[in-house]
Amino acid sequence: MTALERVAQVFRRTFSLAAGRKVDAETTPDHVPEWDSIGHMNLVSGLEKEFGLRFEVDEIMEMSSVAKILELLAKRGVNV
Amino acid sequence: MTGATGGIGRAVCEMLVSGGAHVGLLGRDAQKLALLRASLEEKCPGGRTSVLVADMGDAEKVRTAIAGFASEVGGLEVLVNNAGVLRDGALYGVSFRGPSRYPLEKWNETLQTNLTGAFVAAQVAVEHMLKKKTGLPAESASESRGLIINVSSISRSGRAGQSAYSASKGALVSLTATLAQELAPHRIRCVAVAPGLVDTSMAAAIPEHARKEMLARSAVGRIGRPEEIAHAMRFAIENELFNGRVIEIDGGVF
Repeated sequence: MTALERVAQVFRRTFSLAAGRKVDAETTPDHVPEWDSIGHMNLVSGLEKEFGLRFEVDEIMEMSSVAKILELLAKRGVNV
Repeated sequence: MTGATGGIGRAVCEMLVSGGAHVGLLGRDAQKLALLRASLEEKCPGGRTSVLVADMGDAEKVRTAIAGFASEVGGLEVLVNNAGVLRDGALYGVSFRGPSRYPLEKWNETLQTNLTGAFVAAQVAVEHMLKKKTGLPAESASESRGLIINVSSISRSGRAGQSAYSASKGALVSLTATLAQELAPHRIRCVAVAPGLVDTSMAAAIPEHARKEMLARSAVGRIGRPEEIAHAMRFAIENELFNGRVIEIDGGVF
């Protein structure tokens, strides 16, 4: 499973998205109404569990799209 | 009945009016209260209601409204503290929007309406409940002077994003236990009802994913109906042994 697929899985779990709902690198909070400030913290928690990482506050604030999340994961050594 | 025009409020009012009670419908929106009154008159012909307009954030108006109602009907037997507001938000949010602080105004509004309003209403209600002459010997417990029902919530034990709401609903449970002890010598009971997700406009405002997550933890697996909360209140009203405790009516959330 690719990093993107794993991130998409975390999105589906966190926001109870239907299986067919598209999550790709272009996905931003504008595409996912459930991705609000509380949802963001749940998302971060899900990503930390999935990838076995702990994000810093400045990293959490940078996560404004799936592309940005993948970029951060790459910086942390995840093969994206 | 404070918060009379809300989903739970309406169902409880209907239960009480159809049971023959004269119900004071307290809320802040005069138009909504008038519509509720008309609806109750239609559903329960001959039912007795009074409209009391007051914002729970205005202690003096709440006192005046409840005292006026008690004088109008010649006493007060049950107070239902149902008024509540839900203002979600993280205490200190860190997201793609940057850091954000939960506004103190929202904290104050929530505590004022959900907790302080209930305290004020209870205080004036007790004053009028105490006027009831039971005529019974002190050792008899068969006739009560009154009952206060506080509407708490499944969120009373804490829920992320609901610091103000959870704090207010948890505090209502503490207030309930305290008043039950303080008022027992006067034969006034105080109980709480803690609903889970109920089909009301307040629940409709909760984000869909949060609703789904709450329902996923429910053994019953469905949203509650306002009538089911009213039914729990009927139990609290009719059972004089029930005091100082919370009825958890949430479908079994674990």
